[in-house]
Amino acid sequence: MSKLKDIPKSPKKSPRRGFLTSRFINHDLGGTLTGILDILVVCGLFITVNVAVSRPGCSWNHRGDWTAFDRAKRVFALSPKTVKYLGELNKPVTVVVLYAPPQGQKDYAVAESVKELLTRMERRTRYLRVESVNVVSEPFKAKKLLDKHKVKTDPDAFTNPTIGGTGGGQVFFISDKRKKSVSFNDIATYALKKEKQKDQAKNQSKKPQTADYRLQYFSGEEVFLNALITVTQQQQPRVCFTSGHGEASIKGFTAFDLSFAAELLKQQNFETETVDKISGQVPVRCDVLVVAGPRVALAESEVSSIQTYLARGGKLLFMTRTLDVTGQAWSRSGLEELLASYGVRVEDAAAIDSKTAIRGIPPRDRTISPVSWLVRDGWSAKHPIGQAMRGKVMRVDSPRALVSVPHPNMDTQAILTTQSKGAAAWGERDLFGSTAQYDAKRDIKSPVAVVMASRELAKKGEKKRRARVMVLGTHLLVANYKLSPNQPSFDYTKEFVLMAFNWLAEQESLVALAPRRPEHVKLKLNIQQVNRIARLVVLWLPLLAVMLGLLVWLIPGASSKRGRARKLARKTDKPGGAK
Amino acid sequence: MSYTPNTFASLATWLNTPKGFLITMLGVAAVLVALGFFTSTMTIAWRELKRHFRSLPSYLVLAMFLLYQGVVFFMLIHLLNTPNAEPSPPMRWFFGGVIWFYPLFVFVVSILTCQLLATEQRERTIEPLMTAPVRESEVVLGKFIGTMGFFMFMWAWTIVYIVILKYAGGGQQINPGPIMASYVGTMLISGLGVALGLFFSSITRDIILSLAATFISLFLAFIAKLLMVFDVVKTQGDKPGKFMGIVSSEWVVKLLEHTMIIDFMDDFSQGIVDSRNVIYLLSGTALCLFAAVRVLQLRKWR
Repeated sequence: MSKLKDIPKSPKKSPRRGFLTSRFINHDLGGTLTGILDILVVCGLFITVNVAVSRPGCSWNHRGDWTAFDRAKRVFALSPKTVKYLGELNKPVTVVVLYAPPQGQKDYAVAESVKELLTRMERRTRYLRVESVNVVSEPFKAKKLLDKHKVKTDPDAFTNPTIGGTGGGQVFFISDKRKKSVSFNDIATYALKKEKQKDQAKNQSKKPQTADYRLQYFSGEEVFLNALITVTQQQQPRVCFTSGHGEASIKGFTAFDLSFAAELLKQQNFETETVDKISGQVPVRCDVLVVAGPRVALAESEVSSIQTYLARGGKLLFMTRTLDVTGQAWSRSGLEELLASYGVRVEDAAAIDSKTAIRGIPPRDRTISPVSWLVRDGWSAKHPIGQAMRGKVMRVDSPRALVSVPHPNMDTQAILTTQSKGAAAWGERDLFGSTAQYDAKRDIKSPVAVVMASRELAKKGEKKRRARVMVLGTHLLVANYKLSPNQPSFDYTKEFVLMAFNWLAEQESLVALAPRRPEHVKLKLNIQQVNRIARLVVLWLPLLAVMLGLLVWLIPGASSKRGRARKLARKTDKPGGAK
Repeated sequence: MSYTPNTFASLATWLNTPKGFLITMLGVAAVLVALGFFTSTMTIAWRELKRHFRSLPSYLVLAMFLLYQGVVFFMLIHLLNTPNAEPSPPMRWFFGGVIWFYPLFVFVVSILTCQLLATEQRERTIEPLMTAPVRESEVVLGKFIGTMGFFMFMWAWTIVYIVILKYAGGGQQINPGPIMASYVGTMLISGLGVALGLFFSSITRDIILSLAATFISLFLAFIAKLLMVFDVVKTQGDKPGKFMGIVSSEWVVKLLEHTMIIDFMDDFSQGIVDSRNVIYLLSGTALCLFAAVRVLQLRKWR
């Protein structure tokens, strides 16, 4: 106790005076009682603090993400867009998660990601309530919950991948009478494990198993936010499709019609309709007007009514065809001049990317070879859609080349261009050439735009609606065969189409968020490295600790003086011991 | 400046970043030391720390700790290095990702804390300590800081694993954020464990009893997870929805979800620092320390 003399003097308290309750309670109750009461009060305080902090929407209820110092690279944190939306949410939304026990590592990864995401979303607002039920272990509870919210689903779809294919779970967003369901398959992108990719390359006849896949991208935040907005937004934007000029129909079910696109839009809370006559004027109720690849040119009166529609802040999605009905010339829509006045010119040239070209598809409009190509790196970061689509693959069939026309009142951006550089990509003007080849004098130099968007700029102080125009170099981008469920999972056309309509409907918040990429760090050590690590951690480190201990024990004066003091104290306690 | 909820939200968000957390911790420590509040406490803490550093058994505990951690680390490396293993950072599994983390943790915390106050009482060294001009709170806090210091010293050795992985492993990719969060989580959970051990040590003179009480309490806190894993809570009881026929299963599930230390560590190891978990651990530590102080006060004047 020699060191205790170093301790400075401090005022000593009355022995029976406790911290809390004894200040208010009569001292006659005794020290024990006041002590117990003190502890009880602090326990109450402990519970109160923890319950208060656990409240959804509490400022201190924050789930931090330390996965990266750079905010943009964090794996779990919600994007500012989601945080803002949840902060402004003022309608109760119930989220019902039905799931089956994960079958493998990839299912587990998705289930964990969904849980984490919904936890984070629930913490941000008191209007969101999440209920999770395991359909296998709690079938009755699941049924009760589904009946309560009047939701229908097939329980077999959770455990049997061939039925429905939910990917092991389904999430229902319910607000009043509006419902939206999202399956785990909608939010996860899987990829073959690298080792399996090599095996597959060697032996192509061997079919990959479920366990051979890993979670590559998780786009749950984007899909869930869209679902939330869909069930809570007040108005349904109306999309009008023109007809009567050989356009693809939203009611037709051929590979080149638009019924899948219309269905997709309905799922996203859009209303769709076909407008037959626009020669008088475009109906005021149309929030977005779609001219989907007319075979014959629109009449002047129709072009004029579209011009008026745009002048009062309308939104136009124009999809061009490559060839006209004769198949001998470039297609003309009659809207060329109008589009040019809004900053986009449709060129008489086909955009070609020879490095990423796929031959043999599609069945129609195959005059110029190669006509179809894949794009992944051609997204422009200047446009929100391009930003959100960055790194995503999409197949483009028979696209026309688009060029920007500078206009002082318009902000025109190319969303998608050919990705190859130099002579590998160009805008081919020779429509019937036997072989497509870049001609520097005649053709358009790369990068060639195939999707362009133009936005009317607001003048200072002016509050009128602003026109928006988007031009797709090919009407096939929205065709049924591109949006069918049989499309390969790597093709992100569906996401692009939804983003395009959301941007046109001025629903920027619904323009997708970038998907998250889970951390995939694979250890690759050779046997020497493993042995070296084993020697260091199992042998040398513990041995070093023992040696340090021995050093302390052997050096005189280094071992504990207090230990010696204790021995001395024991001796003095013994009868007849040293006094 | 008006203190709106947004201000608090941004403050909470900033605090819950590696930088914010470190700056806050350093700031709080600097302010307290500067105020001289900790003078007596620090003397006791330093005495406690020196006792550990000067005793052979402490080093033997450290050696056993390192041997155990080394074997676990090597096993993880071996497993994750196999071609069919899932790509995953080893340190994520080292901290809380596996059940191996907990037995040692519970054992070491119990060993380090069982004799803190119990030995003082048994060997009657508590009397001179209590008659010295120090508050009971300073004694408890000093012992807590001293033990935590030694615990941190033990865990600091495991930083070598990251260095080894980086350099002996041919420059493996290491993400520092989740590792930092894991160490913060380990220290917070250790804080609660040490405070609990200190409390049990204050209520008994018997070291074995103190050790057993600490060990069982911490072990129960960890294995509570099994109640959830095996759906024990939901399927127990004579009535549907009642745990053991007494309490609503939903409430028990909610309570367990809020207090399961295994889940806390799982979050920390992934780089998720939940303010709710941090506040629970800090307030739990404060509660145990307060209880230890009160018990000491009551014993002193009995």
